[in-house]
Amino acid sequence: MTDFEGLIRRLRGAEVRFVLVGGFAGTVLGSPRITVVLDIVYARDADNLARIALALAPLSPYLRGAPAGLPFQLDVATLARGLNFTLTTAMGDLDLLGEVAGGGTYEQLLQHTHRIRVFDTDIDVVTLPQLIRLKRAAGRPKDLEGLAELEILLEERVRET
Amino acid sequence: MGRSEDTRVYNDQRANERDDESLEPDPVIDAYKKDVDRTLIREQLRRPVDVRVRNMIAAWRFAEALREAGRRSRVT
Repeated sequence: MTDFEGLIRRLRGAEVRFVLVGGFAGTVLGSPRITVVLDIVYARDADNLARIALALAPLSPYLRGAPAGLPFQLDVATLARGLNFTLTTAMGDLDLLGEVAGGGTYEQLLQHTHRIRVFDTDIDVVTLPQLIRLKRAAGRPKDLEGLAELEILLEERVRET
Repeated sequence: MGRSEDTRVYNDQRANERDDESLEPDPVIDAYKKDVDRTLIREQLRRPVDVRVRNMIAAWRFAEALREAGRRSRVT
């Protein structure tokens, strides 16, 4: 299983700037759904790319689902040439997203976040309405049940206030 | 994490979400809502963030243990 705590601590420890999105953001916000991947939208500036490469290097990141033995190295040059990386690491599956449908870049997404304390570290987590927008924009049939849960979660939170 | 810290975070969240744009209804998603267990959602909302995360991880481990048991039973 993905070591969510280990990955988040490692990224925050290296001062990587990112926004938590995806299923684990849903968990933090109250979704009862199980997720196995850590999804983050990361800042694309050179400093941040260097921090990501440094933080993940000891975890032997590799392209998830790719045949073994490809000459893949997640360094600054690779990060700069690519955008979205679906990775497997020694701590589990990690999706590094430079942009996300319906939410754009890290900078654009940051205004739709809350800073929430998770695993004794403060992280920027996408707001629930924005998480719903992102999942709607992804347009995947497999997300429909999860979307219904997230929208009910939002309704329940509004009802409580 | 202390309970008071968790409450502080969630007060901020609710304040921000009121400012957020409202969502257009989607009839396809609405059709799925009738099958959602709202009591489970309400229970989740009462839990601190760390408990939600721990519970999700525990549920995943349980599911994985069941899958592994199933695999073993097919082999033997």
